[in-house]
Amino acid sequence: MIRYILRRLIELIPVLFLVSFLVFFIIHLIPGDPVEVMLGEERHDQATYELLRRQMGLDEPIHVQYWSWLRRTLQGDLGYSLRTKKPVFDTIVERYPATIYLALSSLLLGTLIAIPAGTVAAVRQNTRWDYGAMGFALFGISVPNFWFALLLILGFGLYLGWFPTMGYADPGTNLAAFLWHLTLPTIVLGTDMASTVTRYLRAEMLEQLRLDYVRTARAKGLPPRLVIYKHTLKNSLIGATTAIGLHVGRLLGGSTVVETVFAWPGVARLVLEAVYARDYPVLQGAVLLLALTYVGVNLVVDVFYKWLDPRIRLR
Amino acid sequence: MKRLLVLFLLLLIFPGFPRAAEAPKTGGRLVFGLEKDITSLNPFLRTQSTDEMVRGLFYEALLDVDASGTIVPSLAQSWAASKDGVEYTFKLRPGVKFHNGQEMTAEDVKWCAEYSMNPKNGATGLNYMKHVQSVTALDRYTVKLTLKEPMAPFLAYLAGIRAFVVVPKESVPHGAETLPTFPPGTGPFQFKEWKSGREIAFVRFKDYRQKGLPYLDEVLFKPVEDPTVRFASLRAGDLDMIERTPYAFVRKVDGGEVRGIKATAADGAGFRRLIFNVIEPPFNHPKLRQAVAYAIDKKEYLQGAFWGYGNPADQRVPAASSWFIRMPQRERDLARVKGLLKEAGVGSDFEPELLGRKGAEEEHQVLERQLVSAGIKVKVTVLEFGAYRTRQRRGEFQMILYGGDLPLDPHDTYPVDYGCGGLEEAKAKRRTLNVSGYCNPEADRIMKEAGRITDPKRRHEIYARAVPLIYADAPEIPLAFVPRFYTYHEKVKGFITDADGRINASAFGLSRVWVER
Repeated sequence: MIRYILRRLIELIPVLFLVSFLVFFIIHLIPGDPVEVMLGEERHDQATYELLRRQMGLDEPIHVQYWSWLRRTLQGDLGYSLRTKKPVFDTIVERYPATIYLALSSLLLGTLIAIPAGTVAAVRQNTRWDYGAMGFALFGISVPNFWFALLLILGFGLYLGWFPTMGYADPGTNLAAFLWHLTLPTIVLGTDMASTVTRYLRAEMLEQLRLDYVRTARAKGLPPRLVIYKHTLKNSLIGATTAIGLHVGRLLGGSTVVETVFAWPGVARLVLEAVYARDYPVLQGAVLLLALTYVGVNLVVDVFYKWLDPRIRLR
Repeated sequence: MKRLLVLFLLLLIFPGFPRAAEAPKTGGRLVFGLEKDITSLNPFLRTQSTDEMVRGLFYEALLDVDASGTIVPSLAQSWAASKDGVEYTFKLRPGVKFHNGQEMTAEDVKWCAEYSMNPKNGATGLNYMKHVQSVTALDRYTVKLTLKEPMAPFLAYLAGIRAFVVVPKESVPHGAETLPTFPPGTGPFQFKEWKSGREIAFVRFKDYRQKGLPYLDEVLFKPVEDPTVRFASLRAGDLDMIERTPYAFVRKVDGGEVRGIKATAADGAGFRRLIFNVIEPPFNHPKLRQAVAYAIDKKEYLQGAFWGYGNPADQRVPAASSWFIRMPQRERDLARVKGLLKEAGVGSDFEPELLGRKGAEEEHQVLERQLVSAGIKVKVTVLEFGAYRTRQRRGEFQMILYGGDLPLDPHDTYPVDYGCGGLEEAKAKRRTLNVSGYCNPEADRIMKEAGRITDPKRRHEIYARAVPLIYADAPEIPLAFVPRFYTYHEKVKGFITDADGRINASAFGLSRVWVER
């Protein structure tokens, strides 16, 4: 197991190289440069423009810029934001907790909804429980996050006044306020995740319930609950784990839409700001860290598989 | 019985007891919703309008402009210009404290002016301070600025924080380098902390030079990008005041449909114009430009894109400005459009491109409709701001829908934005302020004179000759001045802004705002 993990970590390195290379060049292909964006429609002269370009190191040829960045990154220096001049690492790390809290709460809500819903839908197939769960899942998949978020803000935030319409509060400073602000965005992301996972889980469960071992277990006289929850569900989770794992990766990367709409100070919103401002160092640093996160999550999911099904060999 | 009737009638006329006049109350907090977060910690570098707007709370300059546009003293209490118009001497207010407790002296002002003047710092104020030859501190509270040559609008350049802010000397590193936090200022509010993406916190500065101000204890800025959510948050009470309210919502507020919310306009905050690329076909042909000009109905444009807010424009300054020049107007005239297109020799294959940026979709639609119905088959290309900006700078457009700011002085705009100096830049694919690439040597010559003269009446006469020459050629079509709206709870009292939309200055703004509990 340890060897497997180590090997996966070593395989991480070429992946990160490739990601950094692709991201760097794609970002620089986008028209527009940071100084142009910074200076806006403001009166300035060509000399100021060129000075700022030089100070930001943007006047060097692109491969030179890439090597300088790579060299510094390997030494642990992600550079400075072109806009705020603060270190990129600090900038990203400052925004990560908000995304992580939202990701974890959405994951929790998503699984709390999906596991019961998917199970019930499979066990009571073709009853109103099934139709209800599938209807909910269809709604969740079809409805865009943006629209659903606005609906929640207007409904629960403005008209009912039950929750704040936007923003964030530190859990350390005020836990109640933190949870209050967390609720609406969690509902959006949690239901989004629950929709896909419910469908997966239902499909997997239906498969499993048809298999011989289930008939055998019931014939032996095992209570249905034991059969379903201990055996069938655990086997079904393997398939569903793939879906959950993908969602976890995406959640940890942050949902740009949800973070922007709720003014949630997470990493995804930071990345969007950096794209508009062409803040290359922040973009490169953030994408690199996100790639790292994704690969890490994948690794955890693979290890989790082994716990779920000892027959799986990790190669 | 009669007495009762008289009493009853009296009560009808004078309902209730006379209310006490609303007096400012000290204390309280204001939560302000911004469109974007701030970006720079260096007050000499402007990266976007949000930075500059927020800086008005905690930085000041020698002079300022009040809400009606008059230059007023700020950190300088008096000033005098030499007869030849080259030396300006300012007497500073004694006893002004920075937020760190230090006293402001002429040495600090000198350092700040020189910081702005130094090209290596890339300060935004360089554009204004490049006319300064030297700065001298004559004594502890007197500063003298010597210009390279007499310049009529120079005082206007110093009014406000654009030229340079006053911070303690040496408090900002040279070059656009890293800065751990904001340098201290002299303004009514003191910077407390900035949580990226969440809020920027300010507290009252107890030793502010204008005694008794500000009324508010705290101001918190929260960036909320989505305008629908921003307005919903205002209505829900999560925000007390917001900027850049969508016009559709302002219509509702004005119509009384949104209880408890008020709106205040910054009348000249937006300027919209259609600029042509005059050095390349097809719009190097003046008749085609004029044809487009006659196809546009500015009132309908305002109705369709701005919910009827705003005023049509025909030049860079609004009608209320002292620099306004009466010129003949071009109204929508389909016959003339047809005639001009024919004279220019274009047929039905004339399909010019209009370049626009995301966020101005309503404007594009209205303009497209007006042009197409007049016989000009325009194609609209909409790009994200960065990409749009690149094409604009390189001159890769035929027509572009663009903005502009309110000039501090006509010398700031006309010779620069329409002057022949810009033609060279345009040919080198590096357009900055002269977006069209227009050059009229006659108008240029006239306008250069006006910059040297100080008598405003004579300057006005000179501009009255040059400006109509420019617009007759139609290198651009000014469309309108459009307001930007601040909306806020009725508990927020005393908020006044100027045409530019500044939220704080030495004579008005958040320093004079209070909240009713």
